[in-house]
Amino acid sequence: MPHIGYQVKTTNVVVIVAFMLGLFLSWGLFSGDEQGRVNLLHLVAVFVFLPIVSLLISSLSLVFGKGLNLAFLAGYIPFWSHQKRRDFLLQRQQPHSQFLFFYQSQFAAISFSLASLFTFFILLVSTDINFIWRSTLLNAEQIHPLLELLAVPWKFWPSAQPDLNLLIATQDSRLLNSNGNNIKGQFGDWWQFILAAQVFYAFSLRILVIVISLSFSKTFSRVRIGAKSSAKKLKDSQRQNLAKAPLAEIVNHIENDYALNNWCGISEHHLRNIEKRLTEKKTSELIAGPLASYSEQMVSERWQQTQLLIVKGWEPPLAELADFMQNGRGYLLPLDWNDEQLKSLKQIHLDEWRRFVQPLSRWQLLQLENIEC
Amino acid sequence: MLNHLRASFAVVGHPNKGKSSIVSTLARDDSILISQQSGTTTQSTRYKIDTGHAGFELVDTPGFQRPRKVLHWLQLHAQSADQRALAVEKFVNDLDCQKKYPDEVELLTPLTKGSAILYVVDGSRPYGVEYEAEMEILRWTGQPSMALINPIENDSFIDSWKNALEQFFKIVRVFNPMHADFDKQLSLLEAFSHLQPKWKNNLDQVIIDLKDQQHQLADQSATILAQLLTELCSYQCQQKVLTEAQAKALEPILSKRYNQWMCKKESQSHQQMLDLFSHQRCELNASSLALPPDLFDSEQWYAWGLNKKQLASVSAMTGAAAGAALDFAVAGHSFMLGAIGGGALGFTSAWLGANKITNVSVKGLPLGGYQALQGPIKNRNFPYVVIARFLYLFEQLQSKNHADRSGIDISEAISTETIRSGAIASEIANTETSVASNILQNKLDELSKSQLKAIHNACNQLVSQKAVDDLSQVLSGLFLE
Repeated sequence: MPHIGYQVKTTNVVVIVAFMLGLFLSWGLFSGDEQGRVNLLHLVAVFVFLPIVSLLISSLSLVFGKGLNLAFLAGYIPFWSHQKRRDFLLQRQQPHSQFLFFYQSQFAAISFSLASLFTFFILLVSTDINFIWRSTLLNAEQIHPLLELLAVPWKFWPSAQPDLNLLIATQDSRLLNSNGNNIKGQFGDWWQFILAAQVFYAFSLRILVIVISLSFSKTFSRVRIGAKSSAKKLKDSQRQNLAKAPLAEIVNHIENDYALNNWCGISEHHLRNIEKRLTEKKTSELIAGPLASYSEQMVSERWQQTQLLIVKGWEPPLAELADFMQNGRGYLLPLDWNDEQLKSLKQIHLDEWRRFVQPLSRWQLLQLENIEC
Repeated sequence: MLNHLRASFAVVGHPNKGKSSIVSTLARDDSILISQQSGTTTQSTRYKIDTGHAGFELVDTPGFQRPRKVLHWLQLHAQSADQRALAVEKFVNDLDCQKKYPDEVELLTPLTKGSAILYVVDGSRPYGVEYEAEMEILRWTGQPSMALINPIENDSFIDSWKNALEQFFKIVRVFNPMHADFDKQLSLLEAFSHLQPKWKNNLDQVIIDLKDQQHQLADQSATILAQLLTELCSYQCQQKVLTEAQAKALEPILSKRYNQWMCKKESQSHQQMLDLFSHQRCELNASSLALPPDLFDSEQWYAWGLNKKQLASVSAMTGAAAGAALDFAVAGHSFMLGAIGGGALGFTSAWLGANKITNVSVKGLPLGGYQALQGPIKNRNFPYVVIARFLYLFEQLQSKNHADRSGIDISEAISTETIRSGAIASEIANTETSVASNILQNKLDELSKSQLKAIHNACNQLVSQKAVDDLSQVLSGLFLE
């Protein structure tokens, strides 16, 4: 079954653009002002709330198959050529196009997060980042529970947990100068919290959602119901060769006296009918094949004179008949009949018997003319 | 745990009684060689049928060739009933027997390894005593067994066969692999599950999977049709030239190229359908897709290959961007007048000055000219013609068993005259007598009003070059039973 499904494909350009954007924006964000001050609450907004909201939007778009569909929005830009608009139309008709856009945006977001982490690390090593926070309405006691809640996923990492004293100590006001009432060195202590928030909310959560959606998407994948064969497939030429086996000539009369061998158990009525049509004389009657007793079979197998062997024309010739015919000689007469009347053989059956007799040099294939009369 | 116990069935019998046809239909595989020439199958071939959550195995075997001699050998090697299965095992392992009776060794080997027996006979030909030796051999294996009467030409002798087979086999069924519909195939699988209780869970799951697959095939067919319709209705063939006369001279060339592309695209989708239904070897005979006339047009183009509207849009956006930069520079004190004014200026100058661009050239290269266009199709009936032909193919494939190697003819389609006449889409079936259009009309009749309206709207939007959301969903109603 052709896969009328989707493939997880991502455009490198989008990933690269997201990475570059992550580098520049994070650099700008972490660089802070001239004293290297970075607002902790801005970081929480950028590395916690923004990823959560964007993840929710993409997940909802995925589930409902609509929403922020990039192709949908891009298709409305007026200056696209007819060909480009057509491409957008076709993209929207792709099966499960929401998955394509979902994965595209997830990979872009991960690329963005990686760039942010990289920038953060570089700046941590090469400069002093002073994490401060400011608020007109909120105080440290109000903010602390929220930060604690956000830090639950990395509870196992104590030094990355928010500390109320640190929170109080790093509150800033634009009226204070940088050396105001804070203890030296404490401004940088938030880095572990910020790193953990980035790793968890902007990075790990994305990966988790991708993994979940991939397993979810398996229900959309099409299972091919088909057979796996243990045999080598026959080539077309081999198939054609099967039908090209040489065929024996057909004769319409017998040239010697014969012994009648009723292999197929045809009725006496039909036997008499056949005898009447033959000019040569029947010398004796034999029985071989499925109806024969052991002794009858032995007699038939030892018979060296001409036989007229009558078989069911619609049945394919079996190897046991070929074995029997190896020892004798004569004429093979495949017949078709119903209760009342003999019938002429179908061409396909006749060809089968012609192929069968061809290698048997002491036998000829007999067909009686006007057998239905 | 039981789900892992996959059933295995060896399809055995006289040569040329349709064993391979039965395997082909049940395995849904048209690559299995079926021939009216006996002895085509010379070796046992295992087909593992995987339905996603379950599966079973079919073993296609050669026919019996020397059953009486084999039975005689077995009788010599088993003195009592308890030794019969062992005698069969001894037979298949005996080197002398492997040389003398290769066909019987091939067909009995899977039975000694636990496969159940599916014995196939031809119900259109009379029962004969010559079959008794092979049925007796099969009984000696002690494996669970079922007989399938395959009425190859007619069903004249089914009763006499039943009378004989019921003495040897636990279950006897009539099954025609060429014509058995989906329900009959499921019914046969249900019967399989009665042969061996340990396989029941797995075979029940196979049935569930197969039913599910029917829905999947319908869904995926709707998806292929949605893509085909979108592609055919939106395709445009174009060529840029300098003058209007040159553009008009291109009409026959573009028309030919356009028609070839449209027919090729339809043919590719039909091939996708054959692949989807695993009928890769099926020959498809389709008449050319009828296309409406008067698809040619020519229009002026300007710088960067844009037409007048696109050029005006680009200019407006560029002007607006430049104006916005100005607004930004003055920190918003211009009240966005820069962006608005820039946009308006860009649009107006592009609209009024566009014609002058065509006369300008840069280093000999013209900045404008004419464009010969073929398509896209705007005829409202066209999507219905495509749908009708597609549905006809779908119906053919749905009812076609994999043992049936005849081709499919979809030349029975709506004629060009229908498109030329401009009859409205819903009247197609009333004015046409072709099978394809009747199928479409029947399908449309079965739909609810809202579904019908959605399809008509979608077709109108397609020929208006507008996007249709969930087109495959809209079309899926046409593929339901």
